Amino acid sequence: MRKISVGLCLLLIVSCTNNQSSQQGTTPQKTAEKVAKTGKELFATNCAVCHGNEGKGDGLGATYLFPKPRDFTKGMYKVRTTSTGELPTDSDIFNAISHGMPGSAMPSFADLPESDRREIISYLKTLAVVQTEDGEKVNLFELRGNVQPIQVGTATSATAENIAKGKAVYQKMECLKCHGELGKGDGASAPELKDEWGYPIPPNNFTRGIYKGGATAKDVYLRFSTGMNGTPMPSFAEQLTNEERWNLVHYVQSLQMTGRQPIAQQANGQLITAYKKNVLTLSTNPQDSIWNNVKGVTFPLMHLWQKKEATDFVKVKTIHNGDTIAFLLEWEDLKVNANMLRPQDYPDAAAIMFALTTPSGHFTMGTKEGPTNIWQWRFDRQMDLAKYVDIETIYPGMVADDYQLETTHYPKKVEKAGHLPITSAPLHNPTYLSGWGAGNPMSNPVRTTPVEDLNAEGFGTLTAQPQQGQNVQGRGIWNSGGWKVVFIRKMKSEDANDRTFSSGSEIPLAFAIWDGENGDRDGQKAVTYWQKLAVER
Amino acid sequence: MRFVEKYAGAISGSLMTSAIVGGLVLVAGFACGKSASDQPSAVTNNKGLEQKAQDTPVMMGGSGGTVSGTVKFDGTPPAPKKITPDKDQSACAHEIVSDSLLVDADSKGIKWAFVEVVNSGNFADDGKTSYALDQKGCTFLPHILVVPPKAAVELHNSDGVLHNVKSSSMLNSAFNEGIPANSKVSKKFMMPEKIKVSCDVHSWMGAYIIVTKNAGFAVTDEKGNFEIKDVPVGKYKIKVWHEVLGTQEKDIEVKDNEKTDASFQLKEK
Repeated sequence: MRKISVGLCLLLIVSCTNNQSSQQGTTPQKTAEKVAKTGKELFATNCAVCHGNEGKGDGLGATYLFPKPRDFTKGMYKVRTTSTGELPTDSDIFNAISHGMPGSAMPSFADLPESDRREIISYLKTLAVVQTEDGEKVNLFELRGNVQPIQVGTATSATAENIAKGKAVYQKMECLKCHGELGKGDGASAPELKDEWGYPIPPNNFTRGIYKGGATAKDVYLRFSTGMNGTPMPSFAEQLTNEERWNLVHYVQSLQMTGRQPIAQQANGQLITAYKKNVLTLSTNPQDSIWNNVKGVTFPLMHLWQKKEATDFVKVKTIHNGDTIAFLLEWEDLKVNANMLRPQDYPDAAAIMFALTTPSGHFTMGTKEGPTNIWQWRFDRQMDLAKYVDIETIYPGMVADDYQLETTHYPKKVEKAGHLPITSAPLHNPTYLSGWGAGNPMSNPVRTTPVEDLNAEGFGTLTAQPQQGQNVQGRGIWNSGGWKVVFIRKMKSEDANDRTFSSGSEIPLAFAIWDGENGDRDGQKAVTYWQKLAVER
Repeated sequence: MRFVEKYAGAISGSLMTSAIVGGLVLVAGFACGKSASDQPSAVTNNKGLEQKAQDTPVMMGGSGGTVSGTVKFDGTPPAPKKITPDKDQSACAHEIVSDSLLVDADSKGIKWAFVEVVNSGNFADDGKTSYALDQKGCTFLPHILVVPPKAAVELHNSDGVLHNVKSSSMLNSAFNEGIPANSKVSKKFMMPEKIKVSCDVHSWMGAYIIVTKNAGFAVTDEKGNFEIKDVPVGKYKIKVWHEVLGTQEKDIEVKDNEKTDASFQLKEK
């Protein structure tokens, strides 16, 4: 891969990953060559990037994640079937690894062979070592690892009557103190809740239908019957009968907004097909009728920086005509964010990441051995192409604040510097536009596309391709509370840093969405793990 | 013998073989020195149980002496921290003085410091003494509760609002229990550990449950004074611990019917 020189880290896709291909993608010969890895090695490859080399929750990615990755040395696990404060069973850990934790940055590692996941569990358990009062080191799983799941009694049915009974339990147990009257996570104590490290931790918003430990009725039952270790969420097992607990489950689930699909687990290796269309050209128009009958795939998103409101799903459609490939990303976003002129402004954005190698590198924007090609669309760039957006766009009367009788700025003269469209900037001398003069792609005034073509091989390596390599086009339209963004590019490329697309092999790809309204930027975003793209013949 | 093997029995509930300590009543205590059994067998049984060899006291017989002293603040005493609860006003007192660092302005004595004489006899659950940690007026009472291993502690909520009691224990099973108005739960603590308990609903609430096997202990009063009576004659390590100011230890020798001074000065870290 081209030597990466500019350390621009605009987007940090942060998460744990494996660097193995999906099992389908591995040739039988390769499987035979593969030597069984120890739990420690598997942990180093798949988990250490976030959880740290020693499992202390202090990996390179931890800085960019909220909530923070687990510190396995403390033996504190949020999602369990065991009583409050107890250690998890092996199957609890297995489920967390296999399903991921929806709403958080913990992906599903369902693509790892089961035996590998079991190896990782054995290794994780060796990490939970604490010191006694007398300085002796003790493994917590040896000390009190013999734990059993709690009893889950027979469920009541989710009738209106039982939901009403559940509501009474919700009020009696004062769930609303943290989760709020309507379960939006906005109770009186919510702003001051802290996790085990003292970071603020927002109570779950039940209306979104996202639960870290899974969204089935039994999962919800278990969460408030076992508590969530390391968080303020206590257990109510001692306080409630089985019937009361089931009714509470029904009430909590009834708070979910209509039309919401609960997220059962994080997406991993889901297949999306680029359908062949017999058309001469593909356009960047997101409203092109060609998309109408294309089957899309909806991916639940993982949140690298948890916020009360967030983009929870992205729907992706993809087509090609043998020459060009197009992707259409659609997601809900009630407020449009068009610029980043003020420090507190962040634009809406979306990105697609492709692996350049098989097997793919780390999901965290790749590795040195497994680099990635990333296409990022940003709405502020699209706006700049049409009309250069400046401070005055946000503060239209700002001149009047300082010069009340100022007349030279009104009426606006379009030829005046500062009011020129960005494309007229070449009229200026790059000697005086030093960022541009130095070749900084961020300062480039001759951009022709709102999509930036980038490469990365891990954290801090994101680099824009030079001007002549910028070959991805795109366009977004925000309408009726949602975004539709199209990315298109020729399927073939001479550039070794560009992903090429051909039928016959599965291409690892992942998606990212930034919601400017919630302050998403850089690593604070919603992403998917590696999925698979198949190109129809 | 390894710690895990030693305590495996304790966890599964088997009986501890050491001698039973005579009637220890500890309800809401500070400055609670108490009589420890001076039967040598108790110590022998305990020997090496949790102590490293060099900590093992040299027992000399005799009826025992008293260890007393003052734990003082080294520096300018900080003013008591006052908290005005911003929620549940009806249940929570209007102004709460934080117990986490209370220094007497005149004497510089530190309240709520825990002092223990290592291996000074066996503190065990007698099955009769009841231990309770209450939540009243949105504070924990007492701020420090000292219990022997295997003791059951009742966690009460005497307030008319929800509290949750969250323990930070590692060696003992941790817990986080929602305790609605005027109810209680019971918890067992198996192993020596200093366990912070807190309530997330009322972020200012905090207390410690100290599980110790040492019969010779005390919690300092508001002047920082403590007194530990009936410590068997011998050479010991004495340790002081404070939740904010940390630990210190020194060597002492307890002589028959004599008072041994063991005062400490703790500095802000």
